[in-house]
Amino acid sequence: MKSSDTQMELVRRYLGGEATLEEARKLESMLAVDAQLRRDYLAYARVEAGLSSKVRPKLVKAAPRRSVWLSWRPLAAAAVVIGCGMAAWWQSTAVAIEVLAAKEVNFRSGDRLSCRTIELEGGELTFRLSSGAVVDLAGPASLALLSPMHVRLAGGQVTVDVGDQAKGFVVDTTTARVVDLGTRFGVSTGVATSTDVAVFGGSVEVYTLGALADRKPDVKLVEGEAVRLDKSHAPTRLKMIRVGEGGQKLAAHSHADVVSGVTDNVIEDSFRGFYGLMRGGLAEGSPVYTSGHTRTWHSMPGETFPVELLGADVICTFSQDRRQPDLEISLMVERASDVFVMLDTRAAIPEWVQREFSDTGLHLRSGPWGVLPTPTGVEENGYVTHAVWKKTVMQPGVVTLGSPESASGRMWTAMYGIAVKEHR
Amino acid sequence: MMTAAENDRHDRFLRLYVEHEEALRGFVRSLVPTLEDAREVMQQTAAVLWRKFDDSADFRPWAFGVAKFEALAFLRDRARDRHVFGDEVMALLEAEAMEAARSSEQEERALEQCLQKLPVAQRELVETAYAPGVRMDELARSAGRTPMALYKSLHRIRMTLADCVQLTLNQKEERA
Repeated sequence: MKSSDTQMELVRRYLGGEATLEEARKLESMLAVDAQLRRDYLAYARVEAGLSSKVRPKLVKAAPRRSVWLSWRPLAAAAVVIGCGMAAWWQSTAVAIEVLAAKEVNFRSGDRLSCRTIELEGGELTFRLSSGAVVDLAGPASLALLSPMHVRLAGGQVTVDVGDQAKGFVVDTTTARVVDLGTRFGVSTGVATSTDVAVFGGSVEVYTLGALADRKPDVKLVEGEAVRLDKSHAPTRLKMIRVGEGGQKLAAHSHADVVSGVTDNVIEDSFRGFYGLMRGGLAEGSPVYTSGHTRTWHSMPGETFPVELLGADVICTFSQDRRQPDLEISLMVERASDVFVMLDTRAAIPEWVQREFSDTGLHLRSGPWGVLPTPTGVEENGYVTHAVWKKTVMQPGVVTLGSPESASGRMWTAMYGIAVKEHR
Repeated sequence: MMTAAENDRHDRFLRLYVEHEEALRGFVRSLVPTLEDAREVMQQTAAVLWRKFDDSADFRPWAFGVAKFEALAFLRDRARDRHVFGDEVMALLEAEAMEAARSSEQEERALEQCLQKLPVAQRELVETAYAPGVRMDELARSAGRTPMALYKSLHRIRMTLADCVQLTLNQKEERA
């Protein structure tokens, strides 16, 4: 830089947004007469702009991968045309992705490409960004890749697992911004109407676009919580989320669903727990709750998983439920079905179960239960035995389930599980 | 789905845009007071360029004109135009920025090389400071420095990089 330090300090202040009006005028009058300063000013601005578009989030010590990512850069322009959508290509330079899994999509696992947007008419695509974040996209969907740490969902649904490497990952929609704080979460949006956010692990901050200006999140969500944001309204609790494999990602809505809705009578404003509906998911190792995913369903020791239950729709509850004495959970059932509840055998059978359900004689186990909370009588990392009760409903309609606690109930029992299978 | 003609238009546009992208980005940055503003104006500019693109005009001056217009509109909308340079200086900057004949690709590569030449601590500082979502006051606190000290360090590094890029590109031109 041939310009003086004083001049360049003025440049810094101006481009940093710090300059007073007087300083801006001073810089302007110098630029008007000093060609060298104009050159230096532009060179400085170019470096700054270049850095902002070049610097990627730091990779966590996995240094060797970095060179691989960078080496694709020359292919970027071509790959955009061949592989990825172009509708919003200008929103950033292309972002490198590595395809991890693909279903009914014309990419294959192991494909590496650079995209600005990804448009899926259907199918599913799982890919990793250079920040380490793993993105599950379920079609139909349109996703713009703004940087390895920032995507914009124009429509459809996406689940992001940022692991430990990509804290601060951002998903924008037309109505909201979701900033992850080290987590796994799902975002779903329709066309310019509302945004649904569900957290499967860790926590996220959600901003409506209005709130973005004063940098205060509208809501912070933790594992097992979900909200819907509309342009004009405060976040409202989403009571049911359709979840996929492992209960840890969003699944698409289907008209074939046996259960079309799950709701409850909790009216507390600050409560945001969601029920996870996992279609056909009941099997060894399927999740029990929407929080605390380490607790899963298992057959009894030495037995195989009961065939009657295999492949039933699982409704994951939240374990806080067990303390709600007045709880009512309602299931909207679309066809003749068997509704199963799996009750902690250490507790008394609630009256509503005795009245309407019959004991199948089958048992399942939930666990492993960690040290906290420790239900009485359960060892560290032990399993709780559940008795399976059944109610058959022959007509579509609402099935209401009550509280897990009978009148004389003990405090430390596990929340019951719910499963529904079409009746044959 | 795009038709063949649209595809073709897209290809031609993309080639031109990529060629001039860095120069445009630098020019836009010189017109607005913050990096965030520059990003937004750049996005808006690219969107307008794509919408209005036809082959009739010389791309570079046309694109610079659009960028200037978008920057002014952006600042006016946000009532930040009091700090904006007047027409005369803006025209001078535009002429100067357009003259830089080098391609975006060369410029980008030169900046990358220069980044690699920085001492590790400086390079890490740049990479951290320019990562998305980083706040300077927090960065300063975690580095145990005042924000002002951090701004000054970054200022010096940017000047070093600007010099280095200039030098690298000049050497290339001489060799060519």
